[in-house]
Amino acid sequence: MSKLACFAAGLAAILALAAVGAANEKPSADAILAALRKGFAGVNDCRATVTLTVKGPQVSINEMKMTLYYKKPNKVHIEAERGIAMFPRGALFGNPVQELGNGGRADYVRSERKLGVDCYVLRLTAPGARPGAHATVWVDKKHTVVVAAESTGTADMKTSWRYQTIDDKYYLPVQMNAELHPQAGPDTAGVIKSTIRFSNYRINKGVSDRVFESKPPTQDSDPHLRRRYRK
Amino acid sequence: MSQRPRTYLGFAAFALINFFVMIGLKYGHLEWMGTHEAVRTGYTVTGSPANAEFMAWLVVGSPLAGMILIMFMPFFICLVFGEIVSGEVAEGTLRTVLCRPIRRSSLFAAKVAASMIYGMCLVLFLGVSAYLLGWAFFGRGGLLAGGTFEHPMVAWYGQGPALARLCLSYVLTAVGATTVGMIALFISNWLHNSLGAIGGAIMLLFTALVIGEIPYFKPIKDYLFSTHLLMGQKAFADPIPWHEVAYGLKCLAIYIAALFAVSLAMFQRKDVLA
Repeated sequence: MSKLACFAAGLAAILALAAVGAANEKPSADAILAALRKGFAGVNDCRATVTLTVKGPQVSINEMKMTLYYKKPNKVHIEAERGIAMFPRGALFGNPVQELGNGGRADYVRSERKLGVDCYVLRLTAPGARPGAHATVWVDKKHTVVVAAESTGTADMKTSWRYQTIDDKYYLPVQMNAELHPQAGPDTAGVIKSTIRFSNYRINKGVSDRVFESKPPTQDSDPHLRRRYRK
Repeated sequence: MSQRPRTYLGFAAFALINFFVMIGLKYGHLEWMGTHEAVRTGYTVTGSPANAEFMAWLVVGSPLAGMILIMFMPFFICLVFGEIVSGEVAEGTLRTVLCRPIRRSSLFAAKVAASMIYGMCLVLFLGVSAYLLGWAFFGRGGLLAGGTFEHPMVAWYGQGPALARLCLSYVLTAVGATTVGMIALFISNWLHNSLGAIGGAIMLLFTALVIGEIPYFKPIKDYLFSTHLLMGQKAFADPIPWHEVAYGLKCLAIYIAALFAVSLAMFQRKDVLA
């Protein structure tokens, strides 16, 4: 990445943080969100090894390794290291703010320490969410990254992230833990716990566009089989 | 036993089944048996699970396995177990053998041991041939197990744990197959008729399977040998339900021991001069 782009990204992040800091008493939720959306701004492309572990009723994925490719603006590709790779949908980089989309609502709640980090606490409500369904997000004041999130809805989900500074400049996630608690009901299953570890980061070393042109993910397109499996 | 062509029929049939499973996996997207549940439960799946471990799982733990283990396996096992005594009676060789000063119990135990070794070899052949075919065409790797129609699951194990679970599954399957074979041996010893032994054992198996599906007979379902015939599939659950596996093994061991004891008693009282 050029020095100019680095400088521009850094400036943008500083400006966003400055906007957050400007409101001492009650920071603006929108400013925090804006800063969050610029998260990983210095990363134009990256490659990382992902190790996935999921444990729960009828699910047991044990240390499945895969390679994650990312390229701006939103190209993502997962490649199996040994034959097959599986990844929970919607969990890439684990940024709930990305999932909020346009038209969602964000409210600043308070500031508190979470997982040993000083955080802003935001309440996010997705557009069209049913009453009472929302997500609470803890945002690291220093690095403006999501440290933890809790969401309620059809299932309660708790997630937490651990970050490290990579190559002395990029503050990126190295581990994400998630716990899914299905709400009580006749078909309630137990808790599903998953851990996603990111390692061997190679940032801004260039990722060919051809990587993203490989075969699309496997689709559920076999109605015959779908009928036969228990719902 | 080794001189009879029917002994090798099971091996040939399983080699053929594995060949077609391999063709299905290579050209017919049979890997759906493994990936369906993962896709359905919200995972992005890329690549293919097809490898040696997956092929060995397909014939013992997938929805395909039900057909193989409940229809083909008992038939080929009974073909040999049901003939081990009655075949010799029909050919008149048993009389010649028993006229010699040998202990009948030793002879019978030797016959049962040979049959059990055959049963174990047949089950292991199913797995080993599937594994080797898979290795030759797809290579090796981890195992993606998708469960069965009744008990779908998403499980992925690294190569080492996958091999351990496959071995356990085949051993448990061999115990179930041996139980059906012992029924055939018992009937063969009783009726002196190989066809009757095969037909009788298969009939008992299907009857027990039907009884097991009728809610009225639910209290006795756990005691039926047919209930534990597919217990090898439990080896792919995480954690392995050891309590259920141990119960199934105990149940089948009691069947095998009881059938052996009754068959031995009948064999010792057999009037070969009549």
